Amino acid sequence: MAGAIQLTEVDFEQIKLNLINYLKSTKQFTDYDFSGSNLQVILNLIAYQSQLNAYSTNMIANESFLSSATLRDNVVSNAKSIGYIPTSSQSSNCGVTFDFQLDSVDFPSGFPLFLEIRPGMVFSTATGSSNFIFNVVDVQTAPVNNNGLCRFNDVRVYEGSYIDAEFTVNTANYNQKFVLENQNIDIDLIRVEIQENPDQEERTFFQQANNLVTTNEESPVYWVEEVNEQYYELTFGDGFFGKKLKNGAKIFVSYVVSSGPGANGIQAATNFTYTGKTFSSEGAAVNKTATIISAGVTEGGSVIESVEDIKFRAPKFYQAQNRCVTTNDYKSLIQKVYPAASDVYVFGGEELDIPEYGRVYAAIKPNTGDKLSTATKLAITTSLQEFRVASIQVVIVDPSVLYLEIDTTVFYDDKKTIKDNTGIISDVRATLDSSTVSGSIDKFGGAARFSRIVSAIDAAEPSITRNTTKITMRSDFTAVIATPASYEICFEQALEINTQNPVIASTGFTIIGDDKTYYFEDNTRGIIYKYYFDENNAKIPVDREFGTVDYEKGEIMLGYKEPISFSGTVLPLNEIQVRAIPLGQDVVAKKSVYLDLDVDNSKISAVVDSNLLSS
Amino acid sequence: MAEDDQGIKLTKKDKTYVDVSLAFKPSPLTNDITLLKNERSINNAIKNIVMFLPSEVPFNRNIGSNATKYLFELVDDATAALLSQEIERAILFCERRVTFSNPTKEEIDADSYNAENFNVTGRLFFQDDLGVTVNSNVDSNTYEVTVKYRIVGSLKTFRVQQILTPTR
Repeated sequence: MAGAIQLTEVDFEQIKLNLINYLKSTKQFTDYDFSGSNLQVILNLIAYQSQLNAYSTNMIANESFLSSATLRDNVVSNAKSIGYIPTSSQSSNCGVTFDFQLDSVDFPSGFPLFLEIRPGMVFSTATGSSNFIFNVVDVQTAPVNNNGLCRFNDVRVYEGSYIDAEFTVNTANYNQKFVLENQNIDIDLIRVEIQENPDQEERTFFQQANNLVTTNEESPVYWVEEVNEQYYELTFGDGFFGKKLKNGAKIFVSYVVSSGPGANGIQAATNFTYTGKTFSSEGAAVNKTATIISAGVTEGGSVIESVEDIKFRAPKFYQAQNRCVTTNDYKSLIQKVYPAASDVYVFGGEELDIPEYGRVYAAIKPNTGDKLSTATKLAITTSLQEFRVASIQVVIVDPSVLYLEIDTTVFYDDKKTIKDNTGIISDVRATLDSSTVSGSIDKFGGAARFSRIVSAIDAAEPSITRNTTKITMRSDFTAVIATPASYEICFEQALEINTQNPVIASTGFTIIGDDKTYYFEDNTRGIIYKYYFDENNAKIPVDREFGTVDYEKGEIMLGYKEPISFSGTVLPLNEIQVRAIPLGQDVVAKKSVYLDLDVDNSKISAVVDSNLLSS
Repeated sequence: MAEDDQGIKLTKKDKTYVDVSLAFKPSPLTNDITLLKNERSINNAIKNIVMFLPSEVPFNRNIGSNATKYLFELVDDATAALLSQEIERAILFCERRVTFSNPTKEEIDADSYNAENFNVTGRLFFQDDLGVTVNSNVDSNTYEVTVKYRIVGSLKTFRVQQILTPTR
């Protein structure tokens, strides 16, 4: 009697085996076992088809849900269905102030009223390894004074390739799509102009629509959404929501294709070279090069939101319902409006030691650097305005970053590797930089477990036999130059006690009225003194009331008895680094402290292990 | 067939092979699907193996032969020799019912056993030359392939012939 065919298998071999077992039980055919037989051809065909069906059913089921989808198009599409538009690439940007000094010889009939810079390339920069182009995306104008000086103040420039595209509306084509066929487009920098009548050169600016509530049949708006291959498609109104485009209307689109985070961190005005085209108020080209007065540090560049991030953030964004109510809502929306954030910590003002009701504080750690510029903070606060609950004020504060530096000596067996100590050091550095080690540390409320770090170093290279490792905490603060001030540096960690050696150490600084370079350290009994090195390199303590330290709280108070007037620091940007040794071996940060494993400043050395057991 | 001392008659029954024909034409006798039996089934399997390209069979890239590759070479005896080797390899690798070796003593009935008929390797002298023969036909740009084989466990030999021609 024929046995039943098993229908539960999805694998080719299993399906085929089931069919063969069935044929065995019928005894009508015998050749199902031989690879050249016609029966095998039929069995292969049926099993292959069944497996394809099973596979596609499985894929369809998986790809239909946000949590299990894997293909980007489907993840994006699922996220779209809950109202989440994945963040595009973001161009790195900064504000630049620059001057044009016009010569009266070039303008015999008088200086123009103003100068104009049209959208497109304005600056080129070099960071050593790469060159980047910075653009303006809107027309910039600045008045010319009587002396022919024209100053463009804090013009925001965006990194990337500036690209134009043009479409003509064809209503006969029901399937017409307006797709910007480039990856890494920053959708915030898309500018759309419509020439409604092909015979008249008049253009109207269209804006990106945010919601349907304020949109009527005449609103000049467009929608942008991600389609295949990370391209973006523009859609226009249907005459009910948003203005409908007529047949023959021309669409002029300009956008910027960004290099992402690669262009972040460019600083100093000397790195910028003006390459833009300048026009006078009469529309004539002005062949003058700009003198760059100041340029901010470029920041905000980020890559397109990854599939993992979309899957993680979209449900949280949906939970937030486009409203900032809980702290998680703020976190989710801040990451949406500023994707270049490495981590965000939000807390209510009532949690402060002196409560501030009606305020929400957000500490944002950017991907590059420690803090955001004032312009970026303002931009984020403005972006959050429409989401916040009325009367609640959003305050963006700099995160309190606690750096961890590792001082490790790695011992290795040189007979088990062809690498020299440089190679071993490089492997250890890469391991510490990897997400398995840094990933669990680099965040608000991160935790550095000594045993994990030590075992990760041991596992960095098979020839490593052991290591001796110490962890030091570091906090950086900016000295206020030429102003008497008191400083409080919080490690939020208990510091080492019961030791003969100082627990705290600083980098160098100078004090007004004194040209010596000073440092400070503690006397292990709660007093901080400053000292300098004399000509014999001997440490000379001078001010025994420079500050105090609370070892239990990890709190350093400087200049509370007498305010300190710094005149300069050894490190650039008036920075003083304070290092401290934690109590115990683990460092666990409070939620508001961003823990950062600073591998670049860590000391890693490798030596051949002379203490090996002979085999 | 053999009879032992107790008078019990032992018979050796050849295994029957049954396959279906992919022509799917109804049999005039049974009005059911046409069946291929025994050597017809094996001949068909050999043909299939020669014609399959490696990786054509799903999830089993070892089935098939590279005979097609040789059809686009210059038609001469050298290519014919290589083609014959490839077909022989493919058949021996993929079709375990077929052998090109002469029978061993164990495969022969005790009645018909005669030690003189066996060579030093313990195999029966055989009339037929088993194996694959390929003759090139330069004028028609074809190869005539003849496979003479024996079914494992049987003394009968069979012959299957096929003309291979490149199709472009």
